Amino acid sequence: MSKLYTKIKEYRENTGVTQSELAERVGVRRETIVHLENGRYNPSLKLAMDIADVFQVTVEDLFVFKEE
Amino acid sequence: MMKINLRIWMFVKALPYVEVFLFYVFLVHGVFTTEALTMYPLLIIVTVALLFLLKRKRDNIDEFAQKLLYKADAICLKGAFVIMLLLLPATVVGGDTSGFVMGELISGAICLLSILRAIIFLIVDMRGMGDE
Repeated sequence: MSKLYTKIKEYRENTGVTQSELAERVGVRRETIVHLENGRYNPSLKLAMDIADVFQVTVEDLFVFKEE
Repeated sequence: MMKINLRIWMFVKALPYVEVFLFYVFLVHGVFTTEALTMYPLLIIVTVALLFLLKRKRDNIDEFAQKLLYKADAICLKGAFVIMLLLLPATVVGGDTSGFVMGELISGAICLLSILRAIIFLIVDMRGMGDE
C-alpha cells in the first residue's frame, strides 16, 4: 500500500516560516499544519496547491507517494 | 486578534443544551423559586445570544475541522439511535413511565450527545485522522 509523505516541515524550516504563519497564509488552523507535517492528515488538492504556492514549488515537490 | 480555539468552542457550544437539561430537571423536581423560574430561561437566552456574538471570534472551520465535525456528527447519530433504542423499553417496562421522566431522559440524552460531540472532536483533533 502506498502512503503519502510530505516535505512541508523541511520547506517550512528552510524558509523560516512558522506553523502559525503558514496556517494563516493558507487559511487553516495551526493544528491542521501540525497533522499535515506528521502525516496524520491528507490534504485536499486545493490546500496542497495553496501550500505549494507559499513555498513556490510544485505539489509533487511537497508530497510523495511511497510504497510500504 | 485572539481567536477562540475550536476545541474549547465545541464545549462552549454544548452549554445551552446542559442548561436546558438542568432547567428541565430543576423544574420537574420543584427546585425553582418563582424568581428563579423566570430568570433561568433568561440565562439560556443570554447564553445563546453570547454564542452568536462569540461565533465571529472563534477559529475558522477549515477543511480538517470540517471533516472532524462530519466524523463526530456521524458517531453521535449512531449514539442517538442507540439512546433512542434504550429509551424505548423504558416506556414499556416501567408500565407507567411518566412524561416527566421521559422528558428528563430525552433532555439528558441531548445534553449527553452534545458533550460527546465535543469530546470526539477534541480526541480526533489531538490524534489526527491518519489515512482516510
